[in-house]
Amino acid sequence: MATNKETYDAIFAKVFSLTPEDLAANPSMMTVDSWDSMAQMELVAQLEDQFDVMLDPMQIIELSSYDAGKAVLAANGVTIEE
Amino acid sequence: MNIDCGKIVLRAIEESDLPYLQAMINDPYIEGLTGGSAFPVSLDRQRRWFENYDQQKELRVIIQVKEGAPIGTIMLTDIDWKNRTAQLHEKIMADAKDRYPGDLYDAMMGLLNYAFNALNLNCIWGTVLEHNYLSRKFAMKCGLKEEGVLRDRVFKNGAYCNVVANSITKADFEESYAKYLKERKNGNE
Repeated sequence: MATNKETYDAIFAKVFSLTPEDLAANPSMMTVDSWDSMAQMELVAQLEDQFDVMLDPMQIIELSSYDAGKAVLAANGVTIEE
Repeated sequence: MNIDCGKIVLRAIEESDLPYLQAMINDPYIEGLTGGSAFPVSLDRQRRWFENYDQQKELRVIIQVKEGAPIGTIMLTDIDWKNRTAQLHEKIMADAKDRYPGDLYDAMMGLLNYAFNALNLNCIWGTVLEHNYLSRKFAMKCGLKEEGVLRDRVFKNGAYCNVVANSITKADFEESYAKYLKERKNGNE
């Protein structure tokens, strides 16, 4: 069974076509060309589905980078272990 | 006339759009991304706004996917016919199934082309919340340049937020539009 971090990384890798090296650099809305409003919708849908959470509007806005996503999930009781 | 650009058309607001507009203005996520603030709006109030709205004074249009659904609105307000300026706004509300890659790019470039080459405006300006990185990035992709930060200009969720001012001139637009046409022609969406 995949860990939370493996699941989290797999979502980012799939939605934005990123490599493990890319993820290590804390990719964000401003650094990933493919991170647009459609990709944001897909990211939210994947996180909500895989981690069984419901993000509120402010959390969706705060979801602006790889690290910020971890903080958003932590606020919903999901820990992405290092 | 409708504004045709790529896979979208920008068309006038119809009475049948009022429930969609009402849902958009009442959506907390969209409210959180925009500079304005609104009381909850009833359908009756939305209808009264529509009845009094002068479509010749400012340009508010629906972004509609051809053969598809509305995905948002895009607007030019505060049109200054002497100085040839106008303020740009946009709001998006759509299901993922109704979107397609590059739809907002089509909408924005279609509106800017209309503003500069049909209305003969010279500078389109806007503001965006500093933390709304997606909108800022999208505006820059379309050729808008950030001009500065307006400090603590908007109160949202218990805190004052900075606002970034941006703009594009007709001269800037020529280059951005050529890039857009090349990207879309090459299927780079």
